[in-house]
Amino acid sequence: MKDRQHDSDERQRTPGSEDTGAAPPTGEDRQERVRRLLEAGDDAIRRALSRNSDEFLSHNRQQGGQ
Amino acid sequence: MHPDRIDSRNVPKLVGADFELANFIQGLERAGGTGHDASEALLAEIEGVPASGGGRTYTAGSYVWGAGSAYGWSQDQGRKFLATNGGCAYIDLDHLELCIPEVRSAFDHAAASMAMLRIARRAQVAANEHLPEGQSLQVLVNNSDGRSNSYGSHLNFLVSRDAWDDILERRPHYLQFLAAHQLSSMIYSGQGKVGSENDRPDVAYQISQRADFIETTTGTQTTYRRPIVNSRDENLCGKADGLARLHVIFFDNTLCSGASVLKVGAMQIVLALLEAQAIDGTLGIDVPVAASVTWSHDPTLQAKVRLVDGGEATALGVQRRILETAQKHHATRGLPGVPRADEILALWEDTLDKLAARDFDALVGRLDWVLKQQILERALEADADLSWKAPQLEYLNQIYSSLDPAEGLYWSYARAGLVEDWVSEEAVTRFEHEPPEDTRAWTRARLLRHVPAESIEKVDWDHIRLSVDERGFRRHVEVRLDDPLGFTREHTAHLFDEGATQRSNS
Repeated sequence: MKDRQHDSDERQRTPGSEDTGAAPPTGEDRQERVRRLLEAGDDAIRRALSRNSDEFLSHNRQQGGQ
Repeated sequence: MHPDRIDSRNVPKLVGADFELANFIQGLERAGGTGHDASEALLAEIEGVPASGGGRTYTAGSYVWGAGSAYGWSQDQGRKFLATNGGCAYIDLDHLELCIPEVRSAFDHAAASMAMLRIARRAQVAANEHLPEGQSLQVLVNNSDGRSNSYGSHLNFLVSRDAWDDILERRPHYLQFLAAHQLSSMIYSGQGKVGSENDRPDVAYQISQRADFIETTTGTQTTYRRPIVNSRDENLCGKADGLARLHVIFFDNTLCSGASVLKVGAMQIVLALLEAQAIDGTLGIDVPVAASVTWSHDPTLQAKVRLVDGGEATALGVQRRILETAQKHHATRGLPGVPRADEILALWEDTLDKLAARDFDALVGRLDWVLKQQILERALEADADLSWKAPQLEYLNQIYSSLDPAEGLYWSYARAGLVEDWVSEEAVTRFEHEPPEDTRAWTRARLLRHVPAESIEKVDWDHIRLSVDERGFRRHVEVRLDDPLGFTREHTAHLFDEGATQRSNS
């Protein structure tokens, strides 16, 4: 089936194309910032994996709700 | 504004929300789980005026472990309204359920929702103090337990009765437009989860928590054969016949405020388009229930579904069409019923642009499913023994939304500065302690603060019934709050101030 026009259009758009007046962070700056912030939160993953996940999962039995 | 004077083509898009939390007691064994114990313990720690009156308020620490239910055994138990902000809390099918006070804007919705979570968190801390060593009350802000049990994060929106009838009864193309929007919006409203549930095809990770549980296009039911568009008709506006309330059960709980604002703001705009009869009537999905799974199971955003006009589209493509319709309408006729519509449209466009470019670094602080995916992928990278099927991944999936800030992964990344702030700390704090000033929630909260508890017989969203002693006789007075847009601070503050002046002069 031929693509709808809108599906073709979406691939041509690029981030940061809006005119905000202020210089947005460059792709590389933002990538570096995100990596740094993700690393800052990684300790939470390590702490989580050190806990007894089996007990948590076995007790997490919810009633079906709305 | 009196309901009769509302422009039925531009009804202000008042928003309500009620969301069920997962709750259980880790370390306590009970056949069938500990949801009942956990939800009762939580509710007991939340101060409020019982909906059934009875001259009591519930005070903290009143739950007696092992004493059986304090509220009876019906599905909806123990409803109490909060004199602080006019919202309410109760137990629904063993889940603590929180309801925000009615608000006008998507931004206020996000702030009020976060405020209710803080109230729940304080209840969790208090309840845990009563637990023996080795037990811990857990609360999760998500929509499924990984065992095919789902619970809801509901929204409701004020619409004209005409619009409600058009969507649910008269114009099938309106229903299909709304369904197309709700489904495709999962690309920003999904919380994400590991695996699949409800006998859906297996997948490593998917965008939406609720998609697997959608089984029909429309219906009134909410606990089985869940519909995309819910047709519950309960306006909670008393005799205001020109108004209706669209009840929405499709969406996930979202913690990122950007996702929350966009989830609600885009719905407000889409409903405004439907109300103004300004939709693209040719847009619809051929098999909507199947599309729910197809789109959710593809975090690469490439999956296409057939449309009613014979074409195909990704979720992003459908959202782009709807956004363009909204932008054109706003440019010519405005969106007067949607506060801060300009900002919502800008956020919507920016988000779609970034999704189209697969710029997930730019969205990791805005969309829960993107943040959760990145967290899980980092865990996989750090430990070669882990896989998507590992129970530890399901554990991380669940505790992403733990209400405990020390354990919840979302809070860790928020503290690290990764998550965008679309609502201020001041706004969240205000809604913990005060009602919105621009809806009837303001008068509800004031009444609950000023009227002695023993005089309150019944509280509901659109009325409060009082029992007043008048020279030895009991008189019943019903205060009607039918107009959800009325009874604001501007309308009624003078009544409470006058009351205070009279008491000080007596």
